[in-house]
Amino acid sequence: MTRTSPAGRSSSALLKTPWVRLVVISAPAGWGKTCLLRDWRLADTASGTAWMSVDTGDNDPVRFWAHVITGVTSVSAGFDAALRVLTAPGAAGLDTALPMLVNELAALPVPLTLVFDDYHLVSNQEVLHSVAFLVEHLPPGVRLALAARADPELPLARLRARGELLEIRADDLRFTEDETAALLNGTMSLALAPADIRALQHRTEGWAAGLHLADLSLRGRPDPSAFIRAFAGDDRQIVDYLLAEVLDGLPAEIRAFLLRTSVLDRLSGPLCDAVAGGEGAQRILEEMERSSLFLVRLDTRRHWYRYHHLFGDLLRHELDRAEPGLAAVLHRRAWAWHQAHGNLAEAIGHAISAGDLAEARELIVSGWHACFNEGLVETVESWLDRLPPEIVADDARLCLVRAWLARNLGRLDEVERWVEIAEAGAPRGPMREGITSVESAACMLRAGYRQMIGDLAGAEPPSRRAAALEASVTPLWRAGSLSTMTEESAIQVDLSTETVRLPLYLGIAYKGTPHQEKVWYILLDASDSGLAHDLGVNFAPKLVNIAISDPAAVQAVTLDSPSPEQNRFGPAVVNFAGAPDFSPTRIATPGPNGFPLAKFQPGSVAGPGYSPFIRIAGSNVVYNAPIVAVGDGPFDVTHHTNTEDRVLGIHIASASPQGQFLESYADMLLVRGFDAGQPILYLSTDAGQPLTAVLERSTYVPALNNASFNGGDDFLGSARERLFGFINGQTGVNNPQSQGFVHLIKDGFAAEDASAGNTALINALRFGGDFLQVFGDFPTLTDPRHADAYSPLWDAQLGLWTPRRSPQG
Amino acid sequence: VDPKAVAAGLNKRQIDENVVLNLAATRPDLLTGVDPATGQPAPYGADGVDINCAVIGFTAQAPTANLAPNAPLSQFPPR
Repeated sequence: MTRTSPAGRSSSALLKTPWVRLVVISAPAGWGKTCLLRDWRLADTASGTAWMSVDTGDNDPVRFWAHVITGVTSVSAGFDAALRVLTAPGAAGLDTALPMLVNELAALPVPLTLVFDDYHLVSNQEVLHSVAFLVEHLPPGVRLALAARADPELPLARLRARGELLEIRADDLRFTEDETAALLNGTMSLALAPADIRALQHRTEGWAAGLHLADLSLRGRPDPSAFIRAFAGDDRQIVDYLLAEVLDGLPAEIRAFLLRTSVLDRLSGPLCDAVAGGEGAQRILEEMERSSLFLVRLDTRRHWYRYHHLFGDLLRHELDRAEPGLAAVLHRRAWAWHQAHGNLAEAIGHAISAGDLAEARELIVSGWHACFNEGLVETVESWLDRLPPEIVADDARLCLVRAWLARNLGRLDEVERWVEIAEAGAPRGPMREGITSVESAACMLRAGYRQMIGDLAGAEPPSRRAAALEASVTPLWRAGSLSTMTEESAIQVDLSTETVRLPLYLGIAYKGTPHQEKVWYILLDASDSGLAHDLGVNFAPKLVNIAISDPAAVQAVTLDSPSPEQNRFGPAVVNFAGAPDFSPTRIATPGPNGFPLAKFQPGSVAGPGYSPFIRIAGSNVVYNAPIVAVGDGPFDVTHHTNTEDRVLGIHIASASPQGQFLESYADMLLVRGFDAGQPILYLSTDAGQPLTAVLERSTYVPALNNASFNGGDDFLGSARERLFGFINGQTGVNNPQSQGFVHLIKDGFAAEDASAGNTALINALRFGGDFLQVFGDFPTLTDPRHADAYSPLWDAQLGLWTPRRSPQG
Repeated sequence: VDPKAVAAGLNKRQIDENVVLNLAATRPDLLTGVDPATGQPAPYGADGVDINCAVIGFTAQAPTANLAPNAPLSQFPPR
């Protein structure tokens, strides 16, 4: 590095400047931005540098951040948890990965400079917003340096006011007359007269690219003064003029090499040999790097390079002029080389540029799924966008890719249209990604779409059809084709009213005592897999452990043994040892900060002998069968004096006509949560503590407090599975980060009774006002050890986000 | 530790068990447990709070695998 250049001068200034959060180097093309960053990196020995050369493909958020994290990993090994989250199949994306990245950056043992060169090539809004998030949350010891042709979309004014921004602009990068002399007469040894130096500096206005091109043009020229007097004009004219001079002065072999390799976004020796049709490209590249011929090295091993963008543009222009039609041939060679070397994205790009659209289509069909599963959704979409629309519309497989993309990107209105076009088209399958046919894939997409818009009844037929079509093939797609319900006995889920409709069964509590009463229960889980499957309820094997530490956690029940006259077809009546008392008034008075509550009282309390978990006398199978209503009706589904607080509707079937079975049911208020990154629905019915019962709108059952066993999770003898709640997550109805106790109380109408008529409460819960707790093992998890570790009895681990430190520390 | 999660806006919505457990294991400056009786910070773990919640289904894709592997020494039972 020399200080007699703008880059050296600015680099020295950067080294002396106190650490700031953001460095912005903003100047048009050819002003030496990359040069400055490179000089700075070499000189700055106090911090590590993670360098990212942005290209247009980085407009996919997953790809962008994967590159960033990979760069950081080169500075600090083992820095990859955020990367695993980012690229996990079905991952929730940046919302999860970025905070993890911030946390990992905060734990770095050395100061770090993140460099994003050519940042102006980023146009994707999600990438831009995520970089803004990073800037806002950068931990001390980490800074970001951006080089771009225009100011980035960041809150520069705010950062400037806080003293957290350092700006370097074209004026700072302009060669002075002395620097021009040092460059041309010192470094380049051109021995120009002072007047020529002055004229060059004046004509180029100190523009680095112009001076470098002038230098290349002047080498070996007998009358430099005449040459310098000959050119004038704006940047582009100077470049065109000087480039022509530079190219004319090069050996024919090098000139041909430059033009033919200009179609490549990045260059390596073997790739250039394949495309330019020669040998020794690696030697040429290294020579060009030494002679400063507008080549940028992309790695430390001198394996990959790229042309300076300005130079590359002009070379491609010259290629089209000098050898019309050759570019397509060169792109064809490039896609063949990239395909052979496993670089699918670049192969597709070059195939499209070559006009080899049939080959591009087949490359996309064969490779989209792997990319999609890595989260590179927008990369896949960019491929399709580059194909003529009729190529996509004429191929059923690409139409289905469009439908998957639309579904994944939240453009649900497009899904069925693309599915319909696919169904009418060809080929019919099987699909390369393993699905048996276009019909099967279309059914999966249609089922998923219907389910996402809340039409679960509409989702069922295509879901069952896909399951049948995939019955004999891979478990992956069979699982993907199945219904979205784990509770298969559910009659319907209506997301517009936040309710699940469940079969309702008759029982008798306290039989033979003065307190005998009619009770109504629902059936949700069973500890035996066969019985769970037959009944359409969740399989929860750990429930067999529930009474180990407290026999009262499960109640023994009996079945009536009806005569043929009493029951020709239908469930036997269950005789419960105990039942809940639904008569108390539920109280949930918010405290000054929402939570803790100022006053609370459960609206439903277990009577003597009651537990929702039952074992039929003579059987070891444990069922989850909570009682949700008592009596003959009418049922109070507004203030819940004879129903549980989540019952929003009850229908008691009349006597079944001969040969038929009429079913009773209850509409229960759902709860929303998350499991393994996916939004889930569940039903809260009981709790072991009064406060929990109030917040969950469930029955307080003291016997559950001792169910086997606190903290147990998957250890021997445990009936519980873990659940994660948060006390002080963010709040706000429309805040996508809201979660937890304070949020529920402030935003979820926790103080009010739930009823079908309380649409404000229903809508608040529908649109993000719910608890949103995180669940542990879940029945659909791929690893059966985790799927079978599911239990409806959840052991809460509550988290407290650390607050602001007090002024006293 | 320097408590800072709320001040830095890092108390964001969590959606995955392993991510939460890894945070609890590695970042006590961001996330702690809580004593339900006092509301004060406490070691992270089960709080003696249990609820009966049967899962019903999912609204987007089926949960199939956690978003992250568990960090060493985070709370996972032996397999």
